[in-house]
Amino acid sequence: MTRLQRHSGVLCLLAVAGLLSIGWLVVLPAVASRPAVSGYLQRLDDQGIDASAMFYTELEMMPKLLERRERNR
Amino acid sequence: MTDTASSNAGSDDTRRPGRGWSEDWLAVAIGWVLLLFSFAAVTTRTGPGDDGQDKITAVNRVGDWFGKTGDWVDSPLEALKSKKGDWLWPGLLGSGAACLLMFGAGAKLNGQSFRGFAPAFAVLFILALLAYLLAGHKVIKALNLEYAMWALVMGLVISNTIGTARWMRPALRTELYIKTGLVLLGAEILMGRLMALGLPGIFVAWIVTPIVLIVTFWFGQRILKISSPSLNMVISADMSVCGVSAAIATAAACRAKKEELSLAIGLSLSFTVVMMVLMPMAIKSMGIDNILGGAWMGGTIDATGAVAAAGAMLGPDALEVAATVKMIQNILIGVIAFGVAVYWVTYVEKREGAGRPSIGEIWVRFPKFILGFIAASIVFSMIQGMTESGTVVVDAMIDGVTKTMRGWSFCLAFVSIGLETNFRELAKQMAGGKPLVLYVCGQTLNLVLTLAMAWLMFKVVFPDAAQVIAK
Repeated sequence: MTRLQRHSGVLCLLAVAGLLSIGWLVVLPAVASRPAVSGYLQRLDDQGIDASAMFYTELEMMPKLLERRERNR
Repeated sequence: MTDTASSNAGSDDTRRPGRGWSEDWLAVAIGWVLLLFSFAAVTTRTGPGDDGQDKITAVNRVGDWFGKTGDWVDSPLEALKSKKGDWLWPGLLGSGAACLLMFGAGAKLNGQSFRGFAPAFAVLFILALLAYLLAGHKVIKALNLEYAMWALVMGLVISNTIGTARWMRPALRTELYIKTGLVLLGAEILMGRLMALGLPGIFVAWIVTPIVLIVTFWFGQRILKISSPSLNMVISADMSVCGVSAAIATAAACRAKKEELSLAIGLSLSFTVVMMVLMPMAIKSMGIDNILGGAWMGGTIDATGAVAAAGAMLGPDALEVAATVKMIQNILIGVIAFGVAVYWVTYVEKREGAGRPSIGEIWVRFPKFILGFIAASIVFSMIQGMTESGTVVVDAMIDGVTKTMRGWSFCLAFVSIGLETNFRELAKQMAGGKPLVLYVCGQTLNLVLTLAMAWLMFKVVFPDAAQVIAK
């Protein structure tokens, strides 16, 4: 990697870091504060749903659901 | 997974980066040490429950030593505190130290220097922590944009701007992290939960899913003529089974390239976001009832969390059915990974013109970590099902330690993949748009077959099942 490439690489990295910072520290909090969005997020929280769960064991709601299923069987 | 196409040929050397233990056995050893450590740390006690009846409860004594970041809205600092307001630093540092110890020991057993490994690993862990912070914003979570994607992004940004430093290389042990994570995941595949919805659940999740997987793979090979069978398999599995976790398991079982796994996950997450919004709307507009709609979404939307979120949009009964069908599908991962590994070493990797390989040859080529993965599922399913306190003990073992460490293992793996991947290599995988066509065609078949099977099961064969669920 030449000096010029490294220099432009650092600038690119800083630009991406800046964009991510603006996105996560300014835009997303603003989106989350909108009544419709915050209401939806609260409903997910109340129901123990993590919409980004990769596996069923990551869902807070699962133990109660399994208990109910066990009772109904 | 392998770096080069040539290493797809099934050489066992690809799983032995240095000297000493093979990566597969190392992953089995690390995973099982952690499983047994967490299991041994669980204590039970019997006391009156909320209803006054005696109830067995279990606590993991080392649970506070392990942790990951929480979620946040306004400031990332919120993610460093628990819901009760305690700092999460001890758990984060504990997880970092445990990962360093386990994987550092693994590096040493492979003949690497621990001194070279430790600083590189520390930076890798910090990048994984940043990925968890990005994934932890509540809006991002609600969109089902999982940590795996942000871990990949962290690595890709660095490798494609300033480049990955040479001194970082000793810590980039993608395969070891993924395989260790999968051995830990094995303990979460509890067969006793298969019958949670009775026979209708089994038919929707365990009959339709393998059919869709096999037909989609066949379609990719014979009709679309996708040049890489492993890319075809990983996309077919993540679309038909359960998204990212299925992609990881099958990619490791068929030794797919890192770029192939990245592409499959990108496709799956993109479609999941769309499906979790559109499917509840479509179900309402088509007048489909909640039980049938829930079963349909549970069998077709890739990601587990997205299934629950979409189910909740319809109602509590839809949520119950959708999440349960998806859980039953989650449990299918073990069988799918084992089946894919056997199929790969027996048919896909056999030399041209050679007959069926002997048992000895199959054993040599077989990815041994799958044995640790399946063994974890069998052992902890037996413990869960055969003893009175089994469920609470296994749940405490998983919740306290192994689930968290499985998450860190996968997160470290995806940062490593990003750090070793070039955007151009990633773009090449989309050649001709065939992966996209494969996903769309496979998902269309999945939607049709799952709806048909769910209708047959919940409306025709077991109409009472819906009333039991609605109770």
